[in-house]
Amino acid sequence: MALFHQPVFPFSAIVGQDDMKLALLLNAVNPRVGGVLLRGEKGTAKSTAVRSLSRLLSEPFVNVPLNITEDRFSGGIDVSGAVKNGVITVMKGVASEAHGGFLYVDEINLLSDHIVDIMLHTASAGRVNLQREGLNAFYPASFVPVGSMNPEEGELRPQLLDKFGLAVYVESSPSVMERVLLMENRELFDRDTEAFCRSFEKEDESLKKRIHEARRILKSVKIGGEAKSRIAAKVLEANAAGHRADIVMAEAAMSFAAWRGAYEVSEGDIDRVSEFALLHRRNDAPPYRSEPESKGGESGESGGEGKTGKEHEKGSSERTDESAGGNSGASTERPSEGGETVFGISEPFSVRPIFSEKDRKRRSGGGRRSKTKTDIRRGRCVRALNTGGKNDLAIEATLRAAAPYQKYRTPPEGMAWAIEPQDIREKEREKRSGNFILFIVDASGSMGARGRMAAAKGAVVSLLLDAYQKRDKVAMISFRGGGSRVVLHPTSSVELAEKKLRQLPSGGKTPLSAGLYEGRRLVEGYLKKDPLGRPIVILLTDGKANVPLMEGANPREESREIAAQWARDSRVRFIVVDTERKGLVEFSLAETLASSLRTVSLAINDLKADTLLSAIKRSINE
Amino acid sequence: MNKRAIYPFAAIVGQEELKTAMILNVINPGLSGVLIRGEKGTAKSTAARALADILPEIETVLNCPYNLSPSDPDSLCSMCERVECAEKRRRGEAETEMKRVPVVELPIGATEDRVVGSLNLEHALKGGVRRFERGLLAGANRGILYVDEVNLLDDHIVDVLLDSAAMGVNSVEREGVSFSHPAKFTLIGTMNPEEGELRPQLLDRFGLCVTVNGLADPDKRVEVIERRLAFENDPAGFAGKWKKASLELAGKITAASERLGTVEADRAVMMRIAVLCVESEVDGHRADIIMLKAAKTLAAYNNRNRVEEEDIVKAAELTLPHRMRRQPLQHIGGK
Repeated sequence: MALFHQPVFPFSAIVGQDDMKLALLLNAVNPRVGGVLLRGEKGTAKSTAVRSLSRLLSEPFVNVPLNITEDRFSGGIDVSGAVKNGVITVMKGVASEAHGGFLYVDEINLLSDHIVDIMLHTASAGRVNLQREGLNAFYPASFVPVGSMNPEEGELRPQLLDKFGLAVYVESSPSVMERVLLMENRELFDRDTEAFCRSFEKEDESLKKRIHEARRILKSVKIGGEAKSRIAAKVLEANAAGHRADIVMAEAAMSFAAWRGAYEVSEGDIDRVSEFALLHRRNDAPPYRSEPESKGGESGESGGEGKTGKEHEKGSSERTDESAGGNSGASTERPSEGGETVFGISEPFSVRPIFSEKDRKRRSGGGRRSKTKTDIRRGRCVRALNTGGKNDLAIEATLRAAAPYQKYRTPPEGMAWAIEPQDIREKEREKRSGNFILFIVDASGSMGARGRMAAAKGAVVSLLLDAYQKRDKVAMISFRGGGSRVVLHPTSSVELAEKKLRQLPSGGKTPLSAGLYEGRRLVEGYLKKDPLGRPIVILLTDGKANVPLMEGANPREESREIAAQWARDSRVRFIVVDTERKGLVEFSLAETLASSLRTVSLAINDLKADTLLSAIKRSINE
Repeated sequence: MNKRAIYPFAAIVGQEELKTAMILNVINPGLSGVLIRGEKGTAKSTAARALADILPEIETVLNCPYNLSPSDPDSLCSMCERVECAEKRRRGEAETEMKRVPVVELPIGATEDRVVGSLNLEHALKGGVRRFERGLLAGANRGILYVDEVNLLDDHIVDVLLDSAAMGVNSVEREGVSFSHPAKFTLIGTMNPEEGELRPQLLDRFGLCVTVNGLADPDKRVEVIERRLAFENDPAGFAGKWKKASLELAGKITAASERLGTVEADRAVMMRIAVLCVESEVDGHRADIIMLKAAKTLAAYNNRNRVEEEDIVKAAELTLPHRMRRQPLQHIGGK
């Protein structure tokens, strides 16, 4: 790759970030550790570190762009070869280029889920099993997968998290001295790259020697029974699912022992690496809370020193609600209106269809709610077009197009057919695309009154059943007390959604603005990953906002304002389910909110009736 | 399949239900497969891959790409490009070979044309000849089709699988090719239910279903670490150490397959099974049929010629949980 000759910031010159560097080194010494997921802030030398480490070891480094298609990742048909020479050959993908080195994906949480699946599958199998487009090939592709992500932009699915051997939380250095040193180094590098690199040559060289030495030692490193028990105990304590954490921790500890030059794994080795193996697998609290800062979580409190939860600071800690204003700074989750209750779920019902027209945009992703044209070479081939550029050859149609002209053309040597560019037909594929449905559920104390919460949960379950049949993705946010939290990150598992919903407690005040704010953030993260997706936001509330985001704001006006701003995003469609309203005539706060969102509000009963479909259609057309 | 070292089946720690379900399928391919459900990192894929280790041999027509048995009708060969082989079979002179039950892995990125087969591009381009290019289902005939993370498979690929699994035949009508060949396979799938459920239709196709969990006993966990590290360190040596256990298991499986034909299930057994199925409100009759087969296979595996109560109970545990769900949101097996 051309990048290989670009000057690279020397690995030894990277200031701080000891955990990140160590995690990468452990993989360099022992690839069986299974890769690293770098979670945390931007601008923390993540890609530089991977790039420079592979340069140092003279091993391949492949950077996977977010727009990669499956054929470029695993390999596809070499179309020009097929048409020019009549030979079917595989054009290998980047997985093969990364063989024996590092494969790096920046912002892996924004990469299409399907590609991440294939990438981590390939990494664990150590080879590509290519069964696409008439190709049948196996080739080696063993690489260390390294991904970086900012968890605020959305999570990876837990199944994928687990496939990364290690995870490290990366943040900028709090030390002024380190920051100064970092700036100085960068200055020097930019001013005279060559001289700077030369000044670190020696250190890089000795690092390289040490890695090679550790690789040699690794083969003889022993791990005793006590060490293994220690590992098992740590994993059990963290309540991590399955056995991968145990095995990875053992491999990492052996790698670290070898790095130290020791032939036996010590307790210290295990303690040094255990957090790397557990950070993304710990399961003590609700999942998705792996950051040490515990951003968001059950409450999103902690008075504002959190390094990642800037929005949360706004969202919850500056809460100044009228009645409980005296205890700000204390845990915002303390129920201030009655206790915390978990309500049951009322009887589910079948819901009317929501949104189903086939649309004209090309999309990625699978599902069944709407049929859509797809550009990612999956789905069923519906017809062939002369469009060009997609590298998705419809051979039969191409031959048919070329047939009438065969009399007048001379086929190239060794070929039966003369095919010219204008004959080329490509496949147009169609698959059903699922929608993304975000439930924003008001779980405040007022929802407990007169069975509203049970009814609301019943409505969500009914919509979930519908989502299951349509292969939609769902996510859930709840808001109550001082703030909002993501109960469920986008998932296809409606069972998981149902479980989370069942356990969802309610009680406390109504921070509606925080719920909307969090919802918007989540939807925008989702749209980054799937820019053509069509999210549907279903807001279940009585609209009685009484906690603002900004200090001193009127909570109801503020929530309407946020709603109105969000409504300007034409990609998102909204449904407000008014949990208070009984009949169709009453006027309510939720209805005002709905008009801010340029939609209508529905009573729970309406969901069952034919009115839903027409109401929603009306709301889109307006 | 290439020659990557495979973790020996016999060396898997714990997970007895999982191992039993797979062994039963090897003894009796009529059980139509097993679905392995469970959380991350619980040896689901390891077990599925390790199965190759204990598979028996079958007799096939020499070099037959569809693994046809000599007793299969020779009319199937008329479409095959291996003309000389068809000729020989017609004269009743077909040579045969013994080979291991094939395991074919269906990767999640596979496209429809590679699953069912399609037009051979190279022949079309060079010779202007329509020729069938075999897909994965051809090689899976009389063998095992293994799908890792089957719940992530595209819906239209699932449709194709269901079609073939139901008929035992793969019919291809695409890109100007019209062809069909036998495709009787045992479907083995793994999935993590957190990632979404399977369609009930596909769920029902799996004869048996097991749910696996991580081991809670620290000593067992240590054993998992130990064996895994020992295997990674020296795959061949590790397999060698387990050779004896693997052979014993394979022997037991062969003995059970031979015994299977003689296992009796009287009316009382069938009554018991029918009652169990009615009580658990399963759809259709596949549960009854599979449960009877599973109970008989269990009896054979336990060296008996008669189905006993314990076989029925065990068989019910393997056949009912995934068929009892009445609502998509009710949990399988109550777990």
